[in-house]
Amino acid sequence: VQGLLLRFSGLDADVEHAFRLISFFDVLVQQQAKPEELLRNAAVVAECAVGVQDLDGRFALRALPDGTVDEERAECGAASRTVTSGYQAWIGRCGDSALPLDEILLERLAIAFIATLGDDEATSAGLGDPALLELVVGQSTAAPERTRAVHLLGLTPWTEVTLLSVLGAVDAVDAFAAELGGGGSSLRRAIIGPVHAIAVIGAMPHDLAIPDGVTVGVGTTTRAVNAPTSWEKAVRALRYATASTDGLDPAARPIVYASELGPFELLAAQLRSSDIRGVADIDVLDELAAEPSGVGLLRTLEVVVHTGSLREAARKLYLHHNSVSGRVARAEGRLGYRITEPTGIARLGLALTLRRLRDTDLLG
Amino acid sequence: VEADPAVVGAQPCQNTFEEGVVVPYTVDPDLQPWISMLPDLDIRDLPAARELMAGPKVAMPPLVLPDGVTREERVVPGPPAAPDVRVLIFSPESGTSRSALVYMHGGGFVLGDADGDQELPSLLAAETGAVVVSVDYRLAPENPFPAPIEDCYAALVWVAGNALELDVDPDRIGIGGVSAGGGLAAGVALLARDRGGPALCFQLLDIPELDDRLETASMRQFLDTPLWNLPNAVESWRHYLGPLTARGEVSPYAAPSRATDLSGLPPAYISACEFDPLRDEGIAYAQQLLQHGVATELHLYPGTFHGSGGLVPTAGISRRMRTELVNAARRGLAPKTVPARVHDAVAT
Repeated sequence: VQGLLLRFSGLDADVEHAFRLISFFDVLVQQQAKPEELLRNAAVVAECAVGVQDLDGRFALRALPDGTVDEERAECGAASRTVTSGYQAWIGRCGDSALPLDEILLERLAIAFIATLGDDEATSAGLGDPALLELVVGQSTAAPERTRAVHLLGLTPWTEVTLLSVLGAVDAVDAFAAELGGGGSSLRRAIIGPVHAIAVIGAMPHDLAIPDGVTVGVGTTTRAVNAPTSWEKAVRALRYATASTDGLDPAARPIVYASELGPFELLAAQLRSSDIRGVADIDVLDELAAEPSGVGLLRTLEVVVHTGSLREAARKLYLHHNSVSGRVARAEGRLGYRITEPTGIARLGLALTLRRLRDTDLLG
Repeated sequence: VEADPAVVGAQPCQNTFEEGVVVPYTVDPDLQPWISMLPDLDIRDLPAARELMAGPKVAMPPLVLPDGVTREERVVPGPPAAPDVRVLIFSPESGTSRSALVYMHGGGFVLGDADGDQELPSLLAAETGAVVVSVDYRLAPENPFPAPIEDCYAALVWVAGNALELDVDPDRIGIGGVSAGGGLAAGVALLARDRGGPALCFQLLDIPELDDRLETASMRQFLDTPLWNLPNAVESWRHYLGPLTARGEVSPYAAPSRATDLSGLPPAYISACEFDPLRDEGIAYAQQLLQHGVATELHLYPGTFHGSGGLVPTAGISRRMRTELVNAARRGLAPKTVPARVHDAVAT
């Protein structure tokens, strides 16, 4: 007896058939089916494309009656039903082609979808689970999985978040996180490779003290479903950050905002360590850095580039003007060009930037 | 989903092992939601069951023939003094040497027709390269045993006699069917052996209905399993055997489980579903075939119920079942290079 199944298009919206359809979705909810499985089953039973989406274009999942699932939004004129959480279930037929059970199906689909995103128990148990945040920021995570992980973190797909990438000793990072979160539950944390990931709800607060030895890259503020973009930018910013060692280090930039990187973001996004080789200027800087007092010399050069003036650099470094001039002259002798000329400043700045990128390729 | 195999929730679907002990059916999670979409098939009211099958409420997915497969409707000579038999012929693209499979639909001997079961025979044609001839045999109770099986046998004789016209290798003709069709296939294999009829190279018995005695553990146990259960089985055999039931003379061609000698039958593929009352008669028949020296492949699928493979084709377990079935048919219908068997060397 093959192929003997009640056909949706042949059914009236009577109590018996409504009950069958409700049971159908109830079983899927009981099984804690994934959103894709829910949609796939719904499309097969409906004999029609069905989908679930949010109202502002961030999230969509569609299934076709042949069982395929993609991330298309509703077709024009699809009948839909919106539930209070802001999700909309739709079915690809309306008006004259609508079937008696379509409305019940839409309602059950919308409710079942919310249920498949995670129940209360799972939410409280999963809060702060590092694997969840890793899923949320992962580029390769499928959209439905990301949405589910977002919910399990106690957020919604449209919660505004800012991703931070943080490097440093665990104690120091914990101290930073404590100040950032104020002890509340507004942070989600994970460790991804060598980097700590922190999701801040809302925008990054300003004027935070960064502990010695810690560097922070701040991503853009975005909705949770777009967290991977914020995370990517945070990691790029982190490559430009330098830790301060004594709290007063004038060359240190312990916190870098991706929004302030300008064209430097492209370099951090594109260049891996292996791309940066065979540059004579960088080889010279490496040699200088390896010499006695080389670290101080490199730091002086950083500040000179940053301030654009020997006098200003001297003031920042608490050095006599002549000391700075002497160090610059020593570097010029080795580099073979005049640093204090405008083109020289730009050339040195680019060499220092590339050298930094070479040494900070954390997640390449 | 790593969900526990939950209790089937949609319908009161449980069985009683012993007095007071209720055991839930742990149906495969992929199949579970669909149980609520199964119609209440109860052949105790046969006209209503037939009306349901023919009506708009029951799914008949529009058939899309696989690439390269063509369908032809023919009427072939029936059994002696009986009407001609209608067959649907699914032909793959002509190959150098094609096999043939005579195929029977399911329906408890009382329901269904060849037109309502075209997906599997057309798939078998496409995947095995066999010409599949699906027999629109007469149904009980209007036409009880032996009319249905004689129709199937007549179709087999026609295929064997027209192998040249059909472009079929006469040494590679198999027989197969689903459910009651599987029972008919096993019966035709016995008939062909005993009458010295066409030689068969293979029998494909998919969840076969073989035993009218209804005494196996699975048959006694599954009183309310989806689709097929003891009440339906009782009706099915009552209609199929007709007056024979009362006289207690049941032919092994009607109920192959009653056959005492299964030697000399073609190699077999048998499938069984965990929550199918036919489970144990399928397994027992496989054992009997093996004990009589017949090469037999037996597959028992956990978490499945009668017909679940065809009902929910997208489920993972259904895909596995389909793949195994197709592969078995392909092997069974392939040219044999070394027919000698160990048995022949050591016996007697």
